[in-house]
Order: sequence, then C-alpha cells, then structure tokens
Amino acid sequence: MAWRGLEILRLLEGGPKFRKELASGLGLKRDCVRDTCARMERRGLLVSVDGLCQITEAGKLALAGGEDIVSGSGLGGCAERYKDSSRSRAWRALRIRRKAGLDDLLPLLLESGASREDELRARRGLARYLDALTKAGFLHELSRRGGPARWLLVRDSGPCAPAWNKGRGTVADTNTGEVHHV
Amino acid sequence: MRRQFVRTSNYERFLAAVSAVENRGAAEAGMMLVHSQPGYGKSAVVERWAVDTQAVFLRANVDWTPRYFLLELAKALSVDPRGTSEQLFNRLLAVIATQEINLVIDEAEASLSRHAVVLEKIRDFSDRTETMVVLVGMETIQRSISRHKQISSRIAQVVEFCPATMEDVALTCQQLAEVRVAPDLVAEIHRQSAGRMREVMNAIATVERVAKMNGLAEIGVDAVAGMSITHDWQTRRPRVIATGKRAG
Repeated sequence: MAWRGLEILRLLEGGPKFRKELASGLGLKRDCVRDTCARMERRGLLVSVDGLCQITEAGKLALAGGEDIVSGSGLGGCAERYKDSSRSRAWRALRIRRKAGLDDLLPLLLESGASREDELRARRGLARYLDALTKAGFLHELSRRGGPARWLLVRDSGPCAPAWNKGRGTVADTNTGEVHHV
Repeated sequence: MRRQFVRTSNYERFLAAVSAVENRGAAEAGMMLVHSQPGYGKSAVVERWAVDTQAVFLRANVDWTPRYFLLELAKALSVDPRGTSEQLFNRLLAVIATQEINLVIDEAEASLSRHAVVLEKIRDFSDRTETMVVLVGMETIQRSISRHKQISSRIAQVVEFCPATMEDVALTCQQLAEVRVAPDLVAEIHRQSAGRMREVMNAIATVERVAKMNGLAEIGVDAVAGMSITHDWQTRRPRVIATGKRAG
C-alpha cells in the first residue's frame, strides 16, 4: 500500500474531514485511507470518531518536519524526508527527461561551481543508484552505440524516488510499497 | 569536460521573473511565459528549476485534449485517474492546492490548438490554486497567446531567453572546461556560436580534446587554427577557424 500519511495530514490541517472526503480528495480507495488513518491514530498523529478525522498537535508537529514519518516495509524511508537528496533529484530529473545519461543528469543535481571531488562523488553515487533502479526494473539501459550509457524510464510509479538500501540489497518503491530485491 | 549547472544571465533573469510572479499583486495572474529561439538554454534552465522546486513538468502534445491533459497530470501526481473529468479535476485541484505544486508546460504551443481549450484548463488550475504555471515555447508563442485575452491577462512575467553574452561563455568555459581557455578562444567561441549554448558546449568539448591531445594546460585560438569547433546549423557545415586568426 502506498504511504499517503503526509497527504492525509496536509488535508486535515485545513480542518476535520470524513474519511470518504479524504479518499475523494486524494483519489484513494477508502480501505487505503482507513488503514492509513488507523495507523496514524495509533501513533497519535490524528484522532478519529465515527469516520471523522482530526489532526492532533503531534500530527501538526510531524507535518512541520518535527518528527520523521516512515511507513510500510521499513526498507525505504518516506522519500518526502529526503526530497533534496541526490537520489530524489535524480528521480525527478528522470521523470522529466524520460531518457538520460549521467552527463545529462549531473547538471540537474550539482550546484553551480561544485568542486571536482563533489562531482566525482555524485557521479559514482548516481551510477550505482541508476544501476540499482535498472536491476529493479524501473530503468532500461539503452544500447550504447559507441557512446556513454543512457537509461530509459520504463516504470514511472510516482513522484517519490525509489529507496535503494544497499546493505539489504533492496529497492523499495515508496509510491506503491513494493520491495524489489536486487 | 565537467558536468555542472552554469548560472548564466538567462538563468538569473528567469529567477528574477519567478520571484516577481511569487510576489505578484493580482493573485490570479500566476502564469509566466518563457520563450526564445532554440539552443539558448530554455530547457536546461526550466528543467533545473523544476527539479529544484519539485514542480510537475509536462510536455504538451499536439493531440492534447482537456481530458488527455488531466490524465497526464494525474499520472505525474500519482492521482487516481478514474471518474468523470469533473471528479478528476477536483481531485487534482485538491492535491495541487494543498501541496502548492508549480506546473511547467514545455512546448506549450501544442496546448493552443482547438481554440486553446487545453490552455484554458491549465489557466483554471492557476486561477483556483494560485500556484505558478510556467509556459515554455518558441519565439512565436507570445504572439499566439496574445490572441487569447483571458489567458494573456494572467501572464505576470515574460522572459525571452537571449543569446549567451561573452561573460556567459567565459563563465561556462571556466566552469566546464578541464583546461584553461584563453580569452581569445572564448571570444572566438562566442562569435562562432552566436550565443547558442548548445554550440558553446560542443566547442568546449572540442577544444578540451585538442588541449589534452597536445598536453596543453591552456588553449588559445592558435592551437585550434584550421579546425572546426562549431557547426553552422543553418548551412549544415562545420565552421573552421582560419589559420593565423586572431580574435578581436
């Protein structure tokens, strides 16, 4: 199940809402909203009475970034926490370009005037991440035709970047909750 | 050749326009237009901004209908695409408004066909959510949009990307070339490329290769005399630097 906790909390920030309103507002199934709300209620992030949900102070704090909110498998954190990481930026760039190589992506990740060492580190990290995404089936490596490697985005599962856990050898899709072993 | 983002004068003007739209007086005028001839770096700048701000980036298609556009937007935002267009529109409005997501429409000319019905739908999102919409197109787009008063009145800023200046080319050479490019060669690259960033990048790759092959730490016009460093895209011929040429 995709983790929609943050989106639900954001909607509740505007005032209490019924679960069915949350479901229609976010385009989710009611079961999904019910489960997510129940989980957040157990963690004290919201209170719910007869289907009417209200955000708590703890929920507001969590929404403001005072607390980490992670979900599901535990193999990949909620990408929202890492939205400015190189991997999140690379994923966003891949969703824009659809087809890209390391040389196309690096200018979108690195700050202007980045040092040579930063660039090399970013290049190595990005190459490993793209390799993991390829093994997990998100990317397809195009034939090189004498040039550098380029990848095609073949599975665009949503705005959150897939989380690669090198130690466990997994890529968790933070949009759908699926975990791929690579 | 190094790979990093160069903050050119076009990028600085783009950021200034974004800031002006964010601080606009009329809440409903949340649209911005970016246009130029090809090769001046529009896409690189707007893609960078979209990555930085987590904006949704869509490329308009000639066969876009309002429904097709809504489906593409739903896919980009991971919103359930089922139901009527009205239900989908309201669902998308909720997500865009609560998360304050900016929207970029590249090749926006394509959204102007069929009496601009798709662009009207895009304007609806901007009006109701007060989030920013950046339209990107070729040099003729401003004239085409001006025919639709309802839309053009919502455009708070227009940024025309200009040819790269000499300072832009010098900065690009300094940041991206792994050898020092002498001022005379910077001037020659600027002249030959006519300020097209694509040509500048190709020229840097070429001069860098020549410098490395000859073991040079700094490269000037003399070292590339008789070679082609850019390509004339109008005549489809390489431009060759004359032997003994001195750039002014």
